[in-house]
Amino acid sequence: MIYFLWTFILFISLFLSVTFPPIFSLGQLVRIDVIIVLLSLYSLYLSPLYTLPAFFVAGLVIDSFFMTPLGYHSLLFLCISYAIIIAKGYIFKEKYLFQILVISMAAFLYRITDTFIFMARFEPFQKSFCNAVLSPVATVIFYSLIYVLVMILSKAVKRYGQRKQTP
Amino acid sequence: MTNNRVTNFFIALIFISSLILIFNENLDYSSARKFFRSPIRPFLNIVDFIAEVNGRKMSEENLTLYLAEEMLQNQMLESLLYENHLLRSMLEFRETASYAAIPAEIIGGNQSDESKLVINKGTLSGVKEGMAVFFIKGIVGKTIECFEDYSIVETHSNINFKLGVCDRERKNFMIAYFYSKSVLKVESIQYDVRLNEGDTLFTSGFGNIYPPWLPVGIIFEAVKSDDGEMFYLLSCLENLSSLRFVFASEKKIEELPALFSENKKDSVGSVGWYRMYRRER
Repeated sequence: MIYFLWTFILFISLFLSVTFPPIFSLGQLVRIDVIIVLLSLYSLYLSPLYTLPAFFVAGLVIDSFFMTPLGYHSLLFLCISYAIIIAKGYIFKEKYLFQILVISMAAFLYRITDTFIFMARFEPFQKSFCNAVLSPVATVIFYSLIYVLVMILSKAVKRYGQRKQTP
Repeated sequence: MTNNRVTNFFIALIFISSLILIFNENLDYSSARKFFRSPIRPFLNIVDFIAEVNGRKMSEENLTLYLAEEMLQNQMLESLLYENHLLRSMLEFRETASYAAIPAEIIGGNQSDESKLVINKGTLSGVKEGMAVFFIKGIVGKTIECFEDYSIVETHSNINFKLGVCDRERKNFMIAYFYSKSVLKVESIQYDVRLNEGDTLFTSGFGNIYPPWLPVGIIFEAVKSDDGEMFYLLSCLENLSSLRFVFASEKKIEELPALFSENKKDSVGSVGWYRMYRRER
């Protein structure tokens, strides 16, 4: 049942990714990849048998909206996801630092590929730089904010639960 | 760490996505793209709707500003459209005119009584003193002073303006003088001339300035003076206040009407001071 919730969250992040002008972006040049954050977290914590097909379909949806060759995002998401699935056995996935490392690597890989395939020849250097370097940084900062928010929320919930139990 | 099942599943998915990617060039994926877009599309439509509604909620001040900008843009478009029509008609006129006309733009003039205009063509462009200046609807005036890159035009609203006019049938020839702003007084009318209000008068072609058949104006009043002499008041066709372009044209000698050309008779001989001619049959 919980997988319905994950699917719903994936759906929301897809919606946020394909909206134009992008909702999470700085001047439409530096884009925050919510879908990559989700891909990293799903690959770290959820079953690969759910994550791989889910992001295969998500990649097709993104390709349909971005008019990139159909299958390009699927292939990229699958590769990144599989790399994280392999790596998660060797890292402490509960630690914030490792999560950040995984997300930043995933975002960087995604943006570098995107820049070299679609932007390097046609777009000016400034735009390519924003896409390749600043977007992953922005994604990491975004995840940090979300992480802090979730931590505060969880602590608040824990305290509220403790207060309820004390009498 | 990953089990074989996951690896196989991953390889299968990679294979499928690679196949899809490879056949991008050969297969038409438009319906597939449409299908994949369909679950998200309604939400995007909602976002668009919200953005549109927010856009409508403009403050009155912004709305006024927006309206003013739109009106300005409309006016600019209208003026461009008018200019386009004007230039087209100028081009047509120039192509159909039998005489060489030099197009010029009005760059100045006497604003108050419109008695003089300044055009942006001078001697370098071939404009000379004493050239007829007219536009599509009719006569404007004549050049009185020419410099290298501009010329001064004496208009029909100038007190010194005078030209020979005739009716459409070229039966009655008269002289038009300045009367008031954009109004000419037609005099030297013979006793049997009967012209009605609304008749158009044209240039007669007499003299060395104005070519024949250029429209001058429309008769709007026939006046009888105190001494019993008739004259017509002629409203000029070209409105000088809204005029932007003009043509300047030099009259050719062969345009002189045959009515006044001299038929030289061949002499067959002379006796002393007396010259004999062949009798016409």
